[in-house]
Amino acid sequence: MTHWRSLEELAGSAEFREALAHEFPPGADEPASGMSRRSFVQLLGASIALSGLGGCLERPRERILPYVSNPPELTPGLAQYYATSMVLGGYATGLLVESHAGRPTKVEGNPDHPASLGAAGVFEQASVLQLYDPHRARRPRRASKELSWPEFTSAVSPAKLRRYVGDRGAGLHFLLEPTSSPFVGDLLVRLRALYPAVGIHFYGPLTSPMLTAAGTMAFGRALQPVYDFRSADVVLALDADFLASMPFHLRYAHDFAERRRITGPSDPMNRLYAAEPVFSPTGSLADHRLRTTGTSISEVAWLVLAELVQNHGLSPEGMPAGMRSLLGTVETDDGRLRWSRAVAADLAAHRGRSVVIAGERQPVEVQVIAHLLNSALGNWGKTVRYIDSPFAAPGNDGGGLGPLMDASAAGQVTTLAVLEGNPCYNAPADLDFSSRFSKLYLTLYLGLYENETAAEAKMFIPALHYLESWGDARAYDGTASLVQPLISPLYGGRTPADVLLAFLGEPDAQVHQQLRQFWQQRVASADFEHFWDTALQRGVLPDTSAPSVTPTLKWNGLDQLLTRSPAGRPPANEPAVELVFLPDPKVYDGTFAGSPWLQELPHPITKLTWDNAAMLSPGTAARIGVGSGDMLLLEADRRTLRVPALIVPGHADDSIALNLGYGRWADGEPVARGVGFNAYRLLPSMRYILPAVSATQALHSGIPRRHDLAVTQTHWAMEGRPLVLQAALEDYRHHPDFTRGDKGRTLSLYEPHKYTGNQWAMVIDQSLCTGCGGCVVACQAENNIPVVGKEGVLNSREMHWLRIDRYFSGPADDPEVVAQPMLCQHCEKAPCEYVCPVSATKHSPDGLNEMVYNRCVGTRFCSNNCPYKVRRFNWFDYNAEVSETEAMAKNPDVTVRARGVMEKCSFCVQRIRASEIEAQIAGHPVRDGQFTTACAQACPTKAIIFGSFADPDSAVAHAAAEPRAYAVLHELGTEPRVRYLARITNPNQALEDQHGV
Amino acid sequence: MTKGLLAEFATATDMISAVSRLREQGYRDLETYSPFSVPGIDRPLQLGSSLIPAIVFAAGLIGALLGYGIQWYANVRHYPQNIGGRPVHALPAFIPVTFELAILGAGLAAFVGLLIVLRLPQPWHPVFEVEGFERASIDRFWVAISAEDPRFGAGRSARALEELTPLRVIPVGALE
Amino acid sequence: MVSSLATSPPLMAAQPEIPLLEGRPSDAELTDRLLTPLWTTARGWWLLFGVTALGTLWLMVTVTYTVITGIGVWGNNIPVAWAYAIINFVWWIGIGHAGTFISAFLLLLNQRWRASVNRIAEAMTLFALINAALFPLLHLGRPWFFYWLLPYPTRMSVWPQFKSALPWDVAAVATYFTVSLLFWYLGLVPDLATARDQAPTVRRRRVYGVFALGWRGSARQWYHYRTAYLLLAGLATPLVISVHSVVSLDFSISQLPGWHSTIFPPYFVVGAIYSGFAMVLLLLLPVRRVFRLEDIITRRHLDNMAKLLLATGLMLVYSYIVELFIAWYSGDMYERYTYLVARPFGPYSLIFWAMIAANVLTPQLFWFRRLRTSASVLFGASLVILAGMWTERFIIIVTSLNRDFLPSSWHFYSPTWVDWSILLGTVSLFGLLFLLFIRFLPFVALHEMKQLRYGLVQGESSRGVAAV
Repeated sequence: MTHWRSLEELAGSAEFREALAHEFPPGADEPASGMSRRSFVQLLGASIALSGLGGCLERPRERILPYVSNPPELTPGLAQYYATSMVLGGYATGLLVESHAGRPTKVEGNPDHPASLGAAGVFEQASVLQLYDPHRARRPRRASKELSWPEFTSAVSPAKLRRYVGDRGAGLHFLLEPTSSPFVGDLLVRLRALYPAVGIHFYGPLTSPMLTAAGTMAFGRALQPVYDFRSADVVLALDADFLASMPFHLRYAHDFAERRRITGPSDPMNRLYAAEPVFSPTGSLADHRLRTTGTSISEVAWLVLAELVQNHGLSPEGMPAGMRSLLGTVETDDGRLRWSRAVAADLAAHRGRSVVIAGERQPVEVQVIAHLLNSALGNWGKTVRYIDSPFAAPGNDGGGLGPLMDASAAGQVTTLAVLEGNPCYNAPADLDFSSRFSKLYLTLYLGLYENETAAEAKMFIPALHYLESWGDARAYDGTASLVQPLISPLYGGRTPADVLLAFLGEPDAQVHQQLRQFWQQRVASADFEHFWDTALQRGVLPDTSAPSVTPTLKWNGLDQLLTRSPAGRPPANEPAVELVFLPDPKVYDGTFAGSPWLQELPHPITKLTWDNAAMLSPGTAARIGVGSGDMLLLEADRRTLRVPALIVPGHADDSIALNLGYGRWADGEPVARGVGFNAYRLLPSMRYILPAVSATQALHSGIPRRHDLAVTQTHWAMEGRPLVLQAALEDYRHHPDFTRGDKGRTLSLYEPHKYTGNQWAMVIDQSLCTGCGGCVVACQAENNIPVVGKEGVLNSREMHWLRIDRYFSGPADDPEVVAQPMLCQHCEKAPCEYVCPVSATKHSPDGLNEMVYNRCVGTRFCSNNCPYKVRRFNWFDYNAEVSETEAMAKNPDVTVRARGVMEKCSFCVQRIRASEIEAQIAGHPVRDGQFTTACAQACPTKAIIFGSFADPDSAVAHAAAEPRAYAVLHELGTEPRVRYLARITNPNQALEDQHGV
Repeated sequence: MTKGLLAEFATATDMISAVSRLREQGYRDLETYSPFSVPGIDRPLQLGSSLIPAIVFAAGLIGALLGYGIQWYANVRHYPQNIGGRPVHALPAFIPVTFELAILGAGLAAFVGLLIVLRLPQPWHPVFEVEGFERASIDRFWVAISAEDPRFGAGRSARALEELTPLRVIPVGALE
Repeated sequence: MVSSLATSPPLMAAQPEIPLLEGRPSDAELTDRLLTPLWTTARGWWLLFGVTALGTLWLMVTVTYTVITGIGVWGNNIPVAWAYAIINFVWWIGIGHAGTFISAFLLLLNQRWRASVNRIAEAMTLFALINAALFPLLHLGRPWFFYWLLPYPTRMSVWPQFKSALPWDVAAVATYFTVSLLFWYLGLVPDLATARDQAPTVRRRRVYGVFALGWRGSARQWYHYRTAYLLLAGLATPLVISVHSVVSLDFSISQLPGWHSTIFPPYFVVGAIYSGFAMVLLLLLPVRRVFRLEDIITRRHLDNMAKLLLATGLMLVYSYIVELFIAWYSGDMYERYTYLVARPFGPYSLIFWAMIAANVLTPQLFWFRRLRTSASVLFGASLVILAGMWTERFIIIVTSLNRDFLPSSWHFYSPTWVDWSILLGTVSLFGLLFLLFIRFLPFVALHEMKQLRYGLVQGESSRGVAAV
């Protein structure tokens, strides 16, 4: 009590106002909306010097180091590249960030980092826009009153805080996002040392508790598997989207592609089985996809195990003989059994060269069975290794939200510091976090935005973006890397480390120094300076990857897991369906809901933008009586959610899937507010699948019956047109020339144009494209592509230069999905060019279809005559409302287009010219792979190859020479410079006759 | 004709016969005024040739050459570009503009040529001074003998006209 | 009299003839009747003037809004990057074909009946062209740079790209407008002289005098005038054919299924004249009624116009059939889809069938003489045909674009209120200009009527006499 009164006194006191005056440099606390040119230039200058401009918070000068050695496959132009890491779901991904004059403009993968290998996902790439988001919080406050950092630090300094929480820190609790940062982990240990009774909790809605739980159950230790897809011939994915959304997916996708890529009919190819309720990028790449509910996945896993044990004599290591009989022979015969039998046989045939991977949303028993399967198949140590979870779990309570809520219910929580995350929005509904949180005596929230949690917190401190802050983190495989700032804080802010240091009573300690000291103590290196510099330059701390652990199965306790007979599906007449909660491929858990780029990025399968929806199969939709866009009423545990239905072919019957992360309501994030529907209102704790919810058509009067879903691709069939050609590997071997009719020069009245010099071209391997959308965001970031909003998308005015067309093919009840990246084909006989009345689009000597923005008058004839419809038109001045900070994110090498002009893919001409200049200076011709386009660079599976046809040895020339290469709409004679490699699948003959279920 | 005699008739037929009679008497410098183009008046007045067709043809030709020339110079000679891999000198594509410019040239020439040949616009003319002449554009038909005609004699010609039983005979310009 | 018309021009039926001019009003009477509208204003005129003026004002407002905000205020999107603007352009310019066709083509064919209708038709042409010319300008993303389509020397030495059909368009429309204007004005000159000489007040005499260029009606003037007029007619006739051919090339040079078709030029020309005649009738019939011109614009004229509608209508039907046949016969899957699936059964099938009903069925009425000569039937039919021809352009442009090669880019198109406002706005502007025309200019070619009368009275066949 007294303490708080004293703080108010302090706030009122004269010397504090004095201090305040010194604290705030002029202009530093202006909001960016009203940011004056002068202070903008100050910021810029400051950033160039990479020195700290105060903001509300003093920062010392720090030295960060550029990425000096440039491997030939990526030479930046004049821009500088810095290595850093971004943490998502607790795991780090190594990045290289392109920086123009001190402004980070583009995020790319760090080829030296195990979780990236040069690729970057949509979240990493879009994070740069979040850095410049004008809506980020700037003002630390207590209630609505200004709160200065010293004010805060003194308030939470042990000296003051002890009066309140006592010496042991009873009632003091911290809630963090799961973190793998060794440094933060160490701070937490120190905090516990200071306050023995402190409660430290972690919660990330998408950080699955199943992994560790399964580890504990199977091995008695929180081990997590790391898979090596490079040595896997056969992969079984049990509701596991390891190619696009699971932790480490960039690496997994890369490794998987290594075994998927073929350069000719004779090459071998891995085989992927996927059993899943929701169509995922992984499922779309699967050779055999089993369309089955999320709850029945355990049954499939169980069937495969039983099959292995009984018919193939393969049992997990140390399996007690008695237990074999527990796996009684299976009676049920529907598609699942046949499928599981074939899969088991195939797996058994590839012992030690296969992988069984369970999705993180699957319950513990599925995870365990996956462990057992890998053990039975002898994959341990070959394709699967086990490591200790890299998460920091100080002391014995890595308690999640559950324990915290129990404590607060018991009145044992008086002070709660929430460091990042957004629990008031994304905590499981049954915990009722938000109302409890607002009732607590003292709450502190550190966050990037004035979001839902900030609204409930008593004290709020703006957080720093990772591109503004120092830190470290571990990748999924344990490799540690550093986070280094590329720009001084735009709006001021603090990191969780700053706050923890304040609690530790070291308010003046600088995170940068602390971090250095921390590592200095831990690294046995003679020359630490050199070690540190290399670490910053490479972005990776050498040999920090976690050591493999040889696990031993603890069989007691597993028997009951194995004996349980397969759960039957709910009978069809019963209205109840299962509800599956998914991470959103665009906004993750809602963290990125404020990012226009990601909101407008089409969903990989449904192509939905600016929304989420209840995805369900045509059959289920018919049963409930809804069509796409009709409002659906979901009810679970007396909680309801109204959400539009979206019919997705290939979705499992009796299953509804919801993407998390929408339906935000905080005013602090205007872009996110009111977009989509909040699935957290139904999310239970510790589970991602609700076995039975009631789904009915929302007929209540007063609420809209329908909802406009902004889908970028409204027609889903190929209409029998030769667009995505595909063949089974076997057929390809027998008829390598099956694309013969769709390639080669077409007859012409004229002599073909004579070209000289490099001839830029692209080849896209449709066997490798997962449709994840990484290339789309990369293109958007690289080429300053504007966002048109939901209205724009509804009217088909999206501006993406590169889009990913998605077609459903095969049987209607259980179709395949094929993805086809579609961009300007740079046709040698471009239909767009000869119809332009002012030569605003013409051909360059090196084979580019060039768009001359400032010559364009906007007749749009070019778009009409483009058979690929890849041209985009500036219907309005889309850059009119770009704030000055957002403008800083623009790529200075690329024109920002005016209203009324046409635009389209330029093959990243700015990169081509930069590399030519560079090559000229170096005095050699442009080397193959010296640079590549943004899309090719971002692609985790390297499905996009860019180069020059003029060089017969270039990768692109070789790829184009492959028998399965072809040109889309070849018969039109447009002679495109983009070639596609037909999609080759590797089906199992045993399953060929019956397609899925 | 700026000086001479005007005779007003009620019908076109009277006018035509009047003109033929006067020609028989050897008058050469005759003129008629009528509210519409009276068929069959050309022969007696010996109107047989016009410069206009020649002008129009020439202008059409110039237009065509100009049309093709501009296109050739712009797209072939001055700034050739690779447009969709098509030949730079695309003759078929150049035809429409060539044709249109030919028509444009010819059309303008037909109009301008007419004004030149007829020396129009000419807001004032002695005949406008003649009282009642405005009916020449409504329902009256006039025959005029020019004072320049070698056979012209104020008295004689007036009599000659009177014999044709016009509504009346009036001098134009200052006679005597 | 009747016997004198035995040598009937080809488009006339054989049965007992309705005369071209009922009764034989004297030149003076003709002049008085046809010029009185110039000296007096009816209340009804003011009413219509007000309405169309308001519409025109609204046009200006919406156009300004579009230019300031960007054409995003229209419904256009990708794939449907062309829509209302181009539809309206083609529609108006098509309508603008009848005038020149009547005055030039029928003049060469020696059709004397054109005399009483050609002036209105020509004026209609000009006004339609003014509306048409508005759209290519407006539909540009950056209209203020329209002049980049014209060849003029620049330091950057950038020129128009003449392989594109759009510069052809510019040339064609500009030429067509200029020649039509000259043709119309040349025809007006003698009548302006008449107006000058009839004008009640000095001020009006002066004004008409200026535009009459001092016309005296001397035989020499008439002789050269006739030559020039004939030559212009000779030039305008191939021109009128070329203009809509060039417009059709805007589409057929593309490779879009539904546009990429060799029959387009004749098909478009026929459609143009078809809609043009409908518009002429639409304007002629009320004028005829209001000014009691039944004896000058007789049922014979209506009969002939109706026959032209029937003829062009049938040619249009033929074009439709050929299009469908070729689409099927080509074996091209994209052509087939557009013509045989998307149009008749796609999202715009209603509009397609409306088009068929309006353009194919309506003209069949005119197999019957009673319907051909009934003003009310003609008026209704003209309205339907005009609507039908608009929907034809909608079908050609929108259904070809909204479903082309890649199903992934298929998307629906729907117009916005701005689209509608601009379309209706141009209709108002058209009406406004026409009202001004009939108020201030002789809307029936006086001198030609007088000559026609003279010819009829002389009872001589029109053969051998250029029917000026």
